[in-house]
Amino acid sequence: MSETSHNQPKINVSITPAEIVALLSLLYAIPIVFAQVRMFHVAKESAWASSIIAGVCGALVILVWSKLLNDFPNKTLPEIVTSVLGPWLGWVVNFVFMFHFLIETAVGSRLVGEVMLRLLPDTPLLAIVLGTTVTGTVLARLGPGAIGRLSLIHVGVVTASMIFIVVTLFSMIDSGRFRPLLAVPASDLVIASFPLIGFMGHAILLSFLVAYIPGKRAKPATNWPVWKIGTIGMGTSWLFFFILLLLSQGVFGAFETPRLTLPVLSLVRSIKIGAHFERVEASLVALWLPSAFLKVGIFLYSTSVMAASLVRTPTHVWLTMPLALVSVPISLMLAKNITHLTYLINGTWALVQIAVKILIPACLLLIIPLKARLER
Amino acid sequence: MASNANDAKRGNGVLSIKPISSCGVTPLSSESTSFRLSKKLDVNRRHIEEALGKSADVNYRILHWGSPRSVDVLVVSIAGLSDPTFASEQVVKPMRASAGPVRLSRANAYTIIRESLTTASKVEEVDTLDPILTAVIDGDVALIVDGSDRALLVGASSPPTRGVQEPESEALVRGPREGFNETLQTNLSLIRRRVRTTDLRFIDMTIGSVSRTPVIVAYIEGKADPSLLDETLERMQNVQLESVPDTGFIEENISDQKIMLYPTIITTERPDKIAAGLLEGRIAIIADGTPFALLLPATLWDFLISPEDYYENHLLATFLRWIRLAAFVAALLLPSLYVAITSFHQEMIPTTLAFRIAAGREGTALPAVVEVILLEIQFEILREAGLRIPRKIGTAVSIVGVLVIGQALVAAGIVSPILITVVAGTAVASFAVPLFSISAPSRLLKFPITILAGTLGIFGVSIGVTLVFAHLATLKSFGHPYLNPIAPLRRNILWDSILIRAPLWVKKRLEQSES
Repeated sequence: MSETSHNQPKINVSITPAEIVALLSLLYAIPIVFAQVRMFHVAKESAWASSIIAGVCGALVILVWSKLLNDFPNKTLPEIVTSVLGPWLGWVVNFVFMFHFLIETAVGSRLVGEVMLRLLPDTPLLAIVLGTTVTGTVLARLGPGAIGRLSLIHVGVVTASMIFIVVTLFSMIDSGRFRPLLAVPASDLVIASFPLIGFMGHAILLSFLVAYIPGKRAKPATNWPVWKIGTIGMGTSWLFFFILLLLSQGVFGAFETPRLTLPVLSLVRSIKIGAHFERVEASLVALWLPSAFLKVGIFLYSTSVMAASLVRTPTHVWLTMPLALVSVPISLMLAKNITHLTYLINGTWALVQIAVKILIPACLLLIIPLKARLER
Repeated sequence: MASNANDAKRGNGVLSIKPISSCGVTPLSSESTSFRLSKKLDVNRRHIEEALGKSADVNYRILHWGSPRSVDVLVVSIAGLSDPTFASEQVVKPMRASAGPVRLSRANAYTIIRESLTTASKVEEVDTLDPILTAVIDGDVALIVDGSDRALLVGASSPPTRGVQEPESEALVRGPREGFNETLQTNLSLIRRRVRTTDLRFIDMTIGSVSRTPVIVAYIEGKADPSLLDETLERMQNVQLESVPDTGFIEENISDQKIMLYPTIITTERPDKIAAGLLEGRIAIIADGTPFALLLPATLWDFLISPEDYYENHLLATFLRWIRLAAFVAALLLPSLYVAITSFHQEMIPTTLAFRIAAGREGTALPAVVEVILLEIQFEILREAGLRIPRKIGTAVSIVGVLVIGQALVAAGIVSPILITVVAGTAVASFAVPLFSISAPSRLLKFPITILAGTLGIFGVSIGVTLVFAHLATLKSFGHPYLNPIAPLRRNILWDSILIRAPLWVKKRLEQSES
């Protein structure tokens, strides 16, 4: 894209709305692995209600980003922040975003590592994290255009696998496990929804992608509106999560699910068709792994772009590898084991996500009219 | 290339002659080539001999014409490239017949000869040495008359040609049997026969500073995208080669990527495929001396689609497309999946089969990944050997390779019996795709993916597949995304590509809505 401001890295990217939708649809990896545990632990049989609350909040988050990106149709996140907050405060906030994306990258790699350790118990965690990070680095260097095209292909595979899971597990659902519909107080429902609300903050990725839709900079009105892209993309991701949550509740129950380390892995492990078709978890994980790689790739790309804007370099590409290498030790040091990781992701990390990816943009949105009024 | 020049070339449907200098081709390297012809025949002959050297195949024949004072005519041609009966049939006979009562002299001989060449297909007058040399090398005959500072170039090219035969690399059960051969004019006529429209255009170029190979860029006016045509011509102009033994040289020079793993231009021997491509708005490149033509732009899926798909029932063709896609994936992933499953994820396969595989592997000395790589390398050697050795003993080598060596390896406990099946399955799958060029990358990529599978199991396979598809996602063929119409998504085209061969009436409707 040729139209870039002085501190915006020059990148040649072209991505379509459908590709952005596909990419956002594939971001469900972390919530399906970890969020279920927390939601069932706190909200019990009403975890589904917490999911809906998170979905509604997610829609509001998308509206926030939609408004922000419509106010700055030609700009990406570092440019928007600098425009609103000025160079000094903007630099600090951009640094916060950059660091957050780096941690998000590390979390993504560690997630893959923890899941794969269930299937490859003798393989060192470092090898898996390194493999994920290297793959993510390649994707990040190729840029959002390639990531978007890859997502468009992969979303079909994921959708097909999701239909397969629903069909094969449908007969195992016990409707009695959904009663009572509302088992806990409203406050618990809200608390239980935090991890998923934090996840819905992934809509922040729109700020790196929408500007590179061909013609978007020149003619924003001729393309899909941002809210539509965000709603369909994040909505699909939320729907994948919701379906798996209902399946977990229907198959294992609200009390059994939080005791499982990785409920979704246990869920797909229980798939059995006839005498020969069973233990499909490795196959399904293999099919889902590219989603995780894509997620690591896009967050590493975002980290690199933010870092490039901070150090004012013309391209983000050379920063990708060093940042990826930094993310590996962070990934390994995040938590001692999967129990700690689950606790971290559902607790502190969820709040950090809400603060960085939802509250900061909301503040930016509030500052814009105030700033305009002061200038007048 | 300037667009004006393109427009000028595209303006008429005639095969236009393009100045050599504007093609980026170096003229024949000798000062004598810019020499203006003299009226003295000896001087002209000496310059030609200097330029062409003492080549044994260059014929210089002096015809003494008229009496009592004869006029000498020098006939220059190259043996094997020109019609051997040309001089007597096309020059001497008409000359004698036309001279008749006219009194012959050095002054009028040139004019009489020129007017007598009524049966020649092409006659051109020149006054410098350069076009004479070019024409002679192309197989034409040069007539230089004593007393005239002009020469006649007469079309007499008759190079050795192979007949039109069925293309061996792209055989079909149902469909035309004609394939291109090494003669450019024959290949153009095969295309023209299938696309009988006045909008068919052939732009000629010369590529190769030494070989001076004639190359044609073909397209249909009104169907081909003008910007694509300009881009193609510009890239062709920039090709700097000494010779063009095959269109592969051009392909490598005009591709979007300098390091190519997957082909981004279709290579075909089939005129029906080129004709279909032209009708779809694509551009073809045909070179003299090779039966392989290029068709561009191309997507990954174009390599998996056969022309036969449109000659057969659409349901059968749809089924075959699924089979081919499965074969394409199998050729890439079968060895690595075998390694991942047998080494890390035995639970992925039914228990009975897992026991069978385990029993087969019992006693084998090497890990699965090493077994696979050894056997795959051995198979690649056999395949390469099979191509090089004479056909009569090639079959024997295949049998020896597959049966004897395979059995010996199993008996020696180096590989397991099931692995022979896996490697054979991979090999057969690589032959199931219509175009060889798309299975070649799989032959290469299966090795690193197998190593990844041997170290990281199914996780390694996923990494390999993701990286391969990431690479594919970045590829472009003359600016067109390689994974089109899936990524970017084009729904209308999607219904007649990859997995579904739509009935022709649906295809037509889809094309109309797409346009």
